[in-house]
Amino acid sequence: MNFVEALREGHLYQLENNDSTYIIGLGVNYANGADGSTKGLAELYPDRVLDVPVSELSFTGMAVGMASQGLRPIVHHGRIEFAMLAFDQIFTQASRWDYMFGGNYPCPVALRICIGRQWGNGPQHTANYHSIFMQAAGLDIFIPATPLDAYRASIYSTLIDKPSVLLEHRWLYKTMEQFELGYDVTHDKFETAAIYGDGEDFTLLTYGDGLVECLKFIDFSKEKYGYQGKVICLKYFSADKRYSEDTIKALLACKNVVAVDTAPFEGGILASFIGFAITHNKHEKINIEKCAPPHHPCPTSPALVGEYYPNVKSIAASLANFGFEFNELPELVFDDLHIAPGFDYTNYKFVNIY
Amino acid sequence: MLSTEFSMNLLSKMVQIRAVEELIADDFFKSKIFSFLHLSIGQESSAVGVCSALETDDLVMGNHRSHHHYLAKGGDFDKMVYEVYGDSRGCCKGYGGSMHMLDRSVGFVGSTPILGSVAPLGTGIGFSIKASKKNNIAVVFIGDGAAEEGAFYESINLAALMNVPVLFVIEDNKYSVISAHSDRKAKDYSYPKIIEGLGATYHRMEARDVNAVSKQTKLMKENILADRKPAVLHLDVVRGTYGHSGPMKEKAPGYRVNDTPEFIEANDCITVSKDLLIQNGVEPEKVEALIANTIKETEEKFLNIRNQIKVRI
Repeated sequence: MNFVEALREGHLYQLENNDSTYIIGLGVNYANGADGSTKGLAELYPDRVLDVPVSELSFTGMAVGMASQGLRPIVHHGRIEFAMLAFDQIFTQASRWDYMFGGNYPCPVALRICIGRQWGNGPQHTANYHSIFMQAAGLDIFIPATPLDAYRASIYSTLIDKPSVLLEHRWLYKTMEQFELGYDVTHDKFETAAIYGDGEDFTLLTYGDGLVECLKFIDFSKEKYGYQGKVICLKYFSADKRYSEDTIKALLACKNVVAVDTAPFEGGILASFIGFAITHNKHEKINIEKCAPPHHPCPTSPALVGEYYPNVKSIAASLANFGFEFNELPELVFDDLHIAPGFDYTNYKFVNIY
Repeated sequence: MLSTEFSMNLLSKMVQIRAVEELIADDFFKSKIFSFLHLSIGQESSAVGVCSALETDDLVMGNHRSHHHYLAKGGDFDKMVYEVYGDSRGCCKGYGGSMHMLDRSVGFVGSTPILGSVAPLGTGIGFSIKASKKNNIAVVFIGDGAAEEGAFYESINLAALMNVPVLFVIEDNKYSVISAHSDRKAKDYSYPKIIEGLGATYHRMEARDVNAVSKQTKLMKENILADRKPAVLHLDVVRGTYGHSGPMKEKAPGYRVNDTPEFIEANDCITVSKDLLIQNGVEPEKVEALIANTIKETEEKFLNIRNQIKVRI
């Protein structure tokens, strides 16, 4: 099952199991609605899968109002730049609703916002503004990295009594994973991170679509050079506590850490997490390198984008700062740099951290 | 024809709202209140008139200026006063303050102060009523300034498209802070063309007579439910002698277009509604006694709460 199909299965599960569930967004009723993630759902639930006017502010606000009165709307924004037209409703209304009214007045609107890289999309369709949401106290943040994450987050986010945002990396839509539907949907917690692999030589810290390049690098460095590494992938940032103690402990136990960010590093999610971990544990020392795009928007031309996002080569260059030697690196072809990967996660072992 | 008793109750409610706001204003000037305040003095008839035509299950949302909406819908008096002072016994336990009124038990589902943002929220609240298949409506109060924000226009179209039972009430006091309509609107700006063009019905009237507002609201609610389309009730109100926020007391400020102190007094909604009662045959003494008793009761109630609150000395 790929990432998009997993989201669709999550929606189908909720539409079947809770009559209060609505899916609202531009073109969600199309044959291939929301990039396929709502495909066929409007035929099954015509009153609850709703196309809307191109009025991001008002349809998002309508969903916030619906959620305040006990319904469970899911709002889809195809690109974060369009969701930003609705920031009043997301930030100033939904995220503060329960708090400003003194509690016991939940507003469980679930927002799906597509974000990040895709060929040809350029400076105004590829913004990686994850960190903006971190300051929206009251809002739960999910950044799924795999189809299983996407499936579970799409359900979990509609079960909790908080407003939430799923930041979906379009780059991951073709990634694959085999898992059983119904898996763990009633679990009362969502993992804040997962650790892939158990190598001690180095650690890659990432989230979202950074995971694919990190796992590719782990495989490459093991096969070619015998290095043993692991990946810490951040997945969920609760409104109540953005970073968990156990994830901080996991990071501080590592050596030779490279933060692999697909958004510019400064002011980003990983910089924030690392900063918090260090201030929180002031006696620990940890060496961290970064591997991230430069601090400018993503351009459009493939000739320019090729150098923008982290890849196996740039991760190797960051690790070289710790003394690792990579004399020979793989040649990256056009598809490696520009086409969404059909990467299969199925055989990668991971351990969740809560 | 509304009964005399009904009309007397509307007058009493307006007087109660004005009396408590005057008391709150006094304490604000004495630096005893640290919540931003926006007073409704002069505009009581719009809230009382509209809410008198509603049932508990008609859900109302207000804005930054909503003491009158909250009390008119039946919101708990004590909890409002506590909230304004930041006391934990307040309607939002002190987390909200004056700009966040809430009493869900009477169908006042909240007020939020980001102007036009209540229009989409009210549309969603109306959607939830529609989904529940109840024969009720949502009502959203916005000001004439907020009605210039895109969220309002978008929401009318959205509500019309989705057959949402919602009544948008524009309380038009002519000023956004101190900007007049002529500072803010194109010469040919037309409310009916815009609003009807977006798919809602539109009615504009003076709000001085609270009974007329009540009757019009009742009619519009019936039409919203029958026609399955939203409506806009545009009420022309008179901003009293207080300014936009603060509160600040205004004596003939330069920005006022035609509303001199004499105009404000002559067109005051309480005076007009009182005079109409007398014209319709109610004894003047009875009306005056009602007003005096309401003010006295409100003061007693207010002071009783006020004395229990720790305020800055």
